[in-house]
Amino acid sequence: MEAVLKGGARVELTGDARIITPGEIKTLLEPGEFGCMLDWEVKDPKTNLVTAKNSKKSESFVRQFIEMLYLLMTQRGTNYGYLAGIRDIYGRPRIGLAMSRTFECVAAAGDITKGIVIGTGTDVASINDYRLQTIVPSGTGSGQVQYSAVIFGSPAYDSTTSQFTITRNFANASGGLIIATEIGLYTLLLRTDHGNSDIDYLAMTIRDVIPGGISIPDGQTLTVNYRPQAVI
Amino acid sequence: MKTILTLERMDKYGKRLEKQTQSSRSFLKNFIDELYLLHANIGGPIGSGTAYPNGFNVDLAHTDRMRLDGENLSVAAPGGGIGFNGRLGGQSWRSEIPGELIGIVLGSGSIAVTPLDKRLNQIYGNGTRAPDVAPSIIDSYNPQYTSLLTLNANAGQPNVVVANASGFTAGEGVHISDSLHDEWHNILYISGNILVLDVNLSQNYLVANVAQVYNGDNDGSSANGNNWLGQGFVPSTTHRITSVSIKIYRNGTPGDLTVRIRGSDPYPSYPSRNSINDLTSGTIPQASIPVGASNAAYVSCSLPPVDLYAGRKYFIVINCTGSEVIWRRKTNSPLYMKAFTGEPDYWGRRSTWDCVSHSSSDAGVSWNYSGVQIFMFTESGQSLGEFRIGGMEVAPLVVANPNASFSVRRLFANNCGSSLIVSEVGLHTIDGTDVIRNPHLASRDVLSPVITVNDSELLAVTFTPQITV
Repeated sequence: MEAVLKGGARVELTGDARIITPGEIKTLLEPGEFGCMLDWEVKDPKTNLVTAKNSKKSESFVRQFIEMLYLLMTQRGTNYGYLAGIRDIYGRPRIGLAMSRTFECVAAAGDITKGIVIGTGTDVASINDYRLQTIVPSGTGSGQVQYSAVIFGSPAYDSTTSQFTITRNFANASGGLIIATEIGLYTLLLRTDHGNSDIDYLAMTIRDVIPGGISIPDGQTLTVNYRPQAVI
Repeated sequence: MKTILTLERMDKYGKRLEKQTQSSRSFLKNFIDELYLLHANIGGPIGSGTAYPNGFNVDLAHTDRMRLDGENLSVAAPGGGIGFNGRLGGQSWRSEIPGELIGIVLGSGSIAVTPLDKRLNQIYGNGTRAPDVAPSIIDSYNPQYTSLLTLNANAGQPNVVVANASGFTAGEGVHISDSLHDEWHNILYISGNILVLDVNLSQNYLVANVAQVYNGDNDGSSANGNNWLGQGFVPSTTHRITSVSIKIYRNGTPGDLTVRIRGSDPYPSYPSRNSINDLTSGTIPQASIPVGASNAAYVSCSLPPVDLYAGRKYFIVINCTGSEVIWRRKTNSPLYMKAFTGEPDYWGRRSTWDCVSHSSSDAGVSWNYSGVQIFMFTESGQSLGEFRIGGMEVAPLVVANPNASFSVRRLFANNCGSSLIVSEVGLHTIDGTDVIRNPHLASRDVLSPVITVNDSELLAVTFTPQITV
């Protein structure tokens, strides 16, 4: 899928998201910590000029992450029993079951219910956050960015650190500046069978608030990496 | 997320004697692999999709991994010695993972942690066995009843008169020999102390030449550069293997014989999934291998010690560079090892397809099983001592901004009669494919200081993962 920006610039929406630090693992996590690194880069696709770039420790796994890890580790909810009250991204308490797609965050281009998402909220992160405060919709209208498909980098390691990478591009073809001040990860909590159709319940596992925000000028693309890491 | 590791040593009444708390340092690449599978929706679930390659379970068997029916990352398990159905959805296929190999595990090793660790350095098994002071035979398949001939046995007729026929069984193979000749045949039937063979003897056997007959191996298979041979076994107790002894002879100059121990999927119908990774290996020099079939004998091979886990399947694998070494085997009604002496294996089985002989024509990459034929072997090692290992316990989630956490705990009871030193703690989770489940090491910690658990004492080990915004 491709989109044509105003002025003729093209923004690749699928398959072009790249890992910012291939082959080199950088971490700010402490020994013994499991967490995420959060990298971002803003680039003009016409000139390849990088206008902003940063890498920081993601600070905010929220409660849905540990609830889902708890589900899997303890096998609550496989066949019988469950953990009730896990909030989905709409704030509704859902039943959690350990299942084959728990944590899945594969998302197609334009899907803002799964994968890495960005927003413009500025509230301080809380353990009880279940969604971004103000999500940026996908599109080319005012205040919108084009979400690419989510892609993944395979697990890698060095002498102390193991990681894999989740990546998504956000192309600004809105005609104006967009400032992303929050970034999150939406994953699948539960796929349930309702008659002839499956219904997905989605839950946010990470929310990071970016002080000062990330400016995405019109015609430029924001690339975000979440790199879950384990450091010995 | 940081994880607190708490160890509490208690007396047999539950009174705490010592408490040690430290940050768990060591989630491994295995843990990241699991999260990757789940986040990226790799493979499966059951029956579909492409597995993520190059997974290795705690036996270092090559088992691809994929998203399961929800068991990925599971540490929930029953107590030690209880068979754990790796497919929790009520399916009929079983992985037969011993309960003690899922969840928290203890060891006595001290090697520094690396992200690629696949197993504890030295693991404690489940039970009440005290540390062995010296290696002893743990598992074997070496049925052998020998009796001298009491009359000369002449060529062209099938009768062999022995001093005592009580150890022989109709239908099984026997080896007739004296100082000049030898040959193998099967026993058609037994009449008193007369073994009636299924074919006539081709040679004369003279009592004066120390003629004798024994049963056990009645055939052999050839190992050389590309033809590798393997024999499966299931240890009845967790131990450190130190040596194997195999009944072999050579023709020509095959070179030194390499002896390897490999892990394998325990699922019996998938021999092609055997590991291609050695847990340990050693060498038998060519000069130590007897020449000619009539001189076939058990030859021992020392191995760098490595842990083998009770209830898991392993293979003794041999190969040499030239031609050829013959590994003697039994092809007639070869009941699985311990069944021969009436003792069941770890899972109570007296006969199994798990542990028949295997062969490979591509230097150990892919394997085929032979049917019900078993190579002659003994396997020796030492137990490090055992804990009675309880089931995994789960404490509820606790969420209070800015923190959220939960705990998993396991009790280890020392009833082995000796003190046991705990210096490493691991967390085994479940991984596998659509047909198999296996334990994988997700976390490994080396303790400092170590904890000494005396006889009759308990050790409670708790993992508490916690996130903070």
